[in-house]
Amino acid sequence: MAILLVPLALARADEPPPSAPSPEVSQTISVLSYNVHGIFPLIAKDSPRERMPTIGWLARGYDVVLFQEDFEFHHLLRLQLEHHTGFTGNGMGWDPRRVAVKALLLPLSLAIPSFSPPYGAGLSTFVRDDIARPDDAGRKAYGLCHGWFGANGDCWARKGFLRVAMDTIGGRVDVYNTHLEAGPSRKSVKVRKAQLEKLAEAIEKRSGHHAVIVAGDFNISFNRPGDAVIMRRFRQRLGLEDSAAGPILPSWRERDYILYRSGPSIALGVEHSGEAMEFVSERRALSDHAALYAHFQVTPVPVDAP
Amino acid sequence: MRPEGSRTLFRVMIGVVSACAFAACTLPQRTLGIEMREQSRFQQQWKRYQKLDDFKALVIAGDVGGVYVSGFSYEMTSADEAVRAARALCEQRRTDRRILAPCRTLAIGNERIEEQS
Repeated sequence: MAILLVPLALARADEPPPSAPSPEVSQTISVLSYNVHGIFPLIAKDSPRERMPTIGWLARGYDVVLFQEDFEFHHLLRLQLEHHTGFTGNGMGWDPRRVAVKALLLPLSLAIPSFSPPYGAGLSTFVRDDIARPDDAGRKAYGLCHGWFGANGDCWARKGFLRVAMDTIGGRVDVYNTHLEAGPSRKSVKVRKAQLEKLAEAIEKRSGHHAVIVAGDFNISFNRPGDAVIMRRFRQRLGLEDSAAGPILPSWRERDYILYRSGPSIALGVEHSGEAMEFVSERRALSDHAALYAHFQVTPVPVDAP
Repeated sequence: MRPEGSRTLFRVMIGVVSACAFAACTLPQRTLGIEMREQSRFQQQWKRYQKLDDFKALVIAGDVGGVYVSGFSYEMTSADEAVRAARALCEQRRTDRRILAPCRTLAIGNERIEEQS
């Protein structure tokens, strides 16, 4: 984390020291959001076990790291992020369908390494130790999904959101990590809409009007009918802005977003954002999603004296 | 060990080493990572757009081979209305992604046009 102390004008000896915190003092916080495609190798069609250490190692450079699809190889990511405090999303829960599938697949899970579906949310968030608040986190499953097969196979994971808090120069900022329903069907759009409503409710309840960062794999494409509207409503309801982080390479689909808003005591601004190109090499990438980053400038807002 | 036995052992070792060297040269190298898609984001979008019903329009800002945003409309009452609606969406996304290039009409219906911005 880089703390930028803008040089203050040299104070004259007869001037009293400033009593309120200077608005010129700011801090930069870097955020990475990455769907790491950490599923069973035969389904991933590659070797996630080999990719994960590199992803984790590269992610060290960020203050806040939000992973999605961190299902089977979480320990490999965590190993690399030794100076970060890790949080994980909700587990598989006790939904009878998932419990039945788990029981059915248990013999295979015991025999095959890195095969343990159905899953929990697959979310993990890592925050640098010096800004992490280890006891201030929350997670919740959406309790909604559509389908078990093909493009609509979202019920294999119990998707949800993970909230973690971090300390900044201006106070607490809540960071929400989420992975929404995938799939292009109307039913999938309907589920995504309901999930976003649940997420908005949670943010209103847990974070009030405070500064927040909301990021992850929203599975929302502005190129698909229906998706744009639900994203716009979600953002308007919470007053969220787009950090402008998005894919640069033409192969990537636009599914991931880093959104943010300022709070009464903290102004969040985007210094720069985009695709983290260190996760890509020529025609190969460390996952099937673009890794997005945003560098936020955090500035405390002085509270006016009554 | 008899000389004949050691000769056989030597031949076996040579065989194993040769087989390993052959395998190393001919088997495909395992490369880290996932191969990226051939089809671009814009190609996929164009394919999807073509399936929509008239009146429709597609408006974009930026470079379709890299960073760009778009707005589209469909099932509108006229071509003019379709362009207006698509342009409004494009402008919103252009602001989101902080793209300086203006929104320009790329297609009306399934016909690609290039508008002077």
